[in-house]
Amino acid sequence: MVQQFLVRNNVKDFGNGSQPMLFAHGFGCDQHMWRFVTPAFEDDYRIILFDYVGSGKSDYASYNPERYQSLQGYAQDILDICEALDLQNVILVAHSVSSMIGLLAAIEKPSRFSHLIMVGPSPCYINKDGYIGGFEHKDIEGLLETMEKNYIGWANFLAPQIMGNADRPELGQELTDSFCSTDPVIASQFAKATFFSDNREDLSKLKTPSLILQCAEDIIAPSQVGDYLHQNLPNSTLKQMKATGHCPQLSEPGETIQLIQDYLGVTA
Amino acid sequence: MIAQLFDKAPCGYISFYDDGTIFEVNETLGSILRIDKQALKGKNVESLFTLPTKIFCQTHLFPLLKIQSHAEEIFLTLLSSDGEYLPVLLNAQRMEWEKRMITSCVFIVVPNRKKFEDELVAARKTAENALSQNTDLVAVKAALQKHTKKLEQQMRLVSSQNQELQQFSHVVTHNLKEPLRKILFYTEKLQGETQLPTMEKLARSAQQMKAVVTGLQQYVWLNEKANQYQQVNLDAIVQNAISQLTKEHDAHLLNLQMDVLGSLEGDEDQLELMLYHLLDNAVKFRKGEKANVIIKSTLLKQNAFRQVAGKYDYQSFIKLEVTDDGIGFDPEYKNHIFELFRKLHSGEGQGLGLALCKKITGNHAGIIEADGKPGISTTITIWLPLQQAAFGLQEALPGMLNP
Repeated sequence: MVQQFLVRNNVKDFGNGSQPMLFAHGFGCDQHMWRFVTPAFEDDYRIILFDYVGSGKSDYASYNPERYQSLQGYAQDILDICEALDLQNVILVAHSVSSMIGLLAAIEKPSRFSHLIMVGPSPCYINKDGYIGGFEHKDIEGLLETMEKNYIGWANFLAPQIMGNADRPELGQELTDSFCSTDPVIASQFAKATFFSDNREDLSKLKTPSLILQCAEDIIAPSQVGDYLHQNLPNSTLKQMKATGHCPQLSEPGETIQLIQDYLGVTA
Repeated sequence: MIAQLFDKAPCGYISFYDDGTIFEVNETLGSILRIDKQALKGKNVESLFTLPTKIFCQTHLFPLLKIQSHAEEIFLTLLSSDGEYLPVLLNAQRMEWEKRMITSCVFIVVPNRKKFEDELVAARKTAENALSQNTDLVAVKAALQKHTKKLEQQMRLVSSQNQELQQFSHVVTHNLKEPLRKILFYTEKLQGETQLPTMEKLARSAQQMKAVVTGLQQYVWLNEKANQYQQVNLDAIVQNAISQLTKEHDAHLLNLQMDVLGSLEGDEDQLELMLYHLLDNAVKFRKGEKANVIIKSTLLKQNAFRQVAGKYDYQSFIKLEVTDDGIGFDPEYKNHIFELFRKLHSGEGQGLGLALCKKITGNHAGIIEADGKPGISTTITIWLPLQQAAFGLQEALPGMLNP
C-alpha cells in the first residue's frame, strides 16, 4: 500500500548520505524547481524529490478534490512519503506554500522531522485584522482569472519545443512535459488552497527548529511577513536574502545553497 | 530609420535584465501605458503589471523563462499610468545580450479577444460544472448503493451481536453480583470465627472479583447509556478526576503538570472517568515515590474519515498527550494494552482502565494510542474532535445499541 505513494507522488530518491533531505515544491511548479540546488547536497545527504498529487508527473487519477481543498491534504502527501520510505530525522526544504504544508506535517508528526527550511514562506496571503499578507481577496480572484486565460492558450504556452538549453536539452524538454500535464481545474483549486489559507494560529505549535529564507522584493511573501513568521515561530532563524523575487532557488541557487549549508552546519 | 520603425511598431516592446530592471522599451508600449518611454527605463518590469499578474509572473512565468528561456501567447494584464487594466498577449525570449541575460518581450493589447475569451471561459465553466456534478452524482449514487447494502448487512450483524452482548453482560454483572455479595458477607463472617490463612486468601480473591464485576458494570454502562454531549471544560474535569483520585490514593503521590487543555463537545461524565483512569494508572504504575505526569494539549486538524477510503473531511481535534515516568511497558504490546482485562503487569489493577478509556474515546469518535519505554515512561495519546455534530454519533449509536 505505502509503496503506491512513491509512484503516486513521482518520488525520486538518490544521493550518497544517510540523513534525508526532502524537497517540497510550491504552487505553480514541480520538483524541477530544485534542480540547481540538490547537486550541492547529493554527496552528504539522501535527497528525496516529489510532486504533489495534481502537479508535475504525479498520478492525476489519485487527485481527490475533497482532500486537496485544504493544505492538510497536501501535508498528508508529505507524511505518506515519509511513511513509505520510513524517513526519520528529515530536513524538509519547502518552497512558498509548501512551508505551511511542511509546518502542518511537522506539527502532526514532530518525531519525523529534524529541521524545516522555509523558502519564501507566508502563513497568510490575504490582509486581515490588521495583519498584512500582501493581497486582497480580489487580487486572488484576478490571479485565478489570469490562470484560466492562460489555459485557453495552454497548448501554445506549453508546446514542447527545443529550448535555449543547448548544453542540456533534456532539461527544457522535461520541464515542458511536466508543466504541460498540469490540469487547469486542479491548478485553480491549488491556487485557492494556497492563497486563501491562514495558518497563523498553527505557528506556535511547531516544535521543529526552522530557517526562514526571506527574499528581497518578494511580492508573494513580503519582508514584514518574514518578520511576522520569525516572531511567531518558536526556535526559528530568519535570513534575509539578496535574491529578489519569489524563487531564489532558480534566480540565486548559490546564495540559497550557502544559507542552507550555513544553517545546517550551525544547528546540526 | 530602423530605430523609428521599432519605436512605432504596432506592438509594445520591452526588454529587462534578470533582476527585472527595464533596459529598453519602444514608444508604442509607452503610449499603451500612457507613460513617457524614457521614464520607463530603469524601473522594474513588475511595476507595469496588475497585482494578480505579478503573482502569476512569480509563480509561473518567471520560473518558466528561467529554465525554458521562452514563452508564447501568455495572457497578462498591464496597468496604465491612469489605472486602466489592459489585457495583453505576451511573447518572451530570454537570451544573452552584451554579456548579460535579458528577456525580450512583445505585447499586443487584446481587449476584443478578452471579451471572446471571457465568454469561452464562462461557457467552459458551466460545462465543467455540469459535467462534474453529473459525474459526481453518478459516482455518489453507485457508492451509496454499494454502501447501503453493506451498511444493512453490518447493521443486522451489529444489532444481533449487541443483543447477545447485552444479555451476556447483564448476566455477568447482575447475576454475579448477588452471589458475590453473599460470598463476601459470609467470608467476612467466617473470618471473625476462624483465623486460617486460607480465609485471608479467600477474602482477597472475592474482593478482586468484586472489582472485576464493578469494572464490567462501568463498561456495560458506557455501552448502554446514550451519550450526553455538551460543552466540557477539560481543565475542570481534570480537577474533578484528581479529587476523585485523592479519595483513593494519597494526594502527594501525583505530581501533575499540564497545558491549558481547552474545552470540547463531549460527555462530561465519560471524559472525567477517562481522565480519572489515566491518572489512576499513572499512580498505580509509578516507579518511585511519586508519579510525575505531564498532559500536553494541541489543537490540530485531522481527517474525520478513518474507515472509508478516499473520503476527506478535515475537522478540528484536540490531541491530549498524557505522559508519566512510571514503569512503562514494552511497545510490542501497544495494540493489546487496550483489550478488556489485559494486564501487562502483575499486581495492581484489573486491566480495565485503558479498555474503558478506549470505549470512551470511541463514544466520542476519537482515537487512543499508547506508547511506552519499559522502565522509563508511558504516553497515552488521545485525539478528540472539538465538535460531535460532524460525526453523527448521536443519531447513529443509540439506535444501533438499543435495537
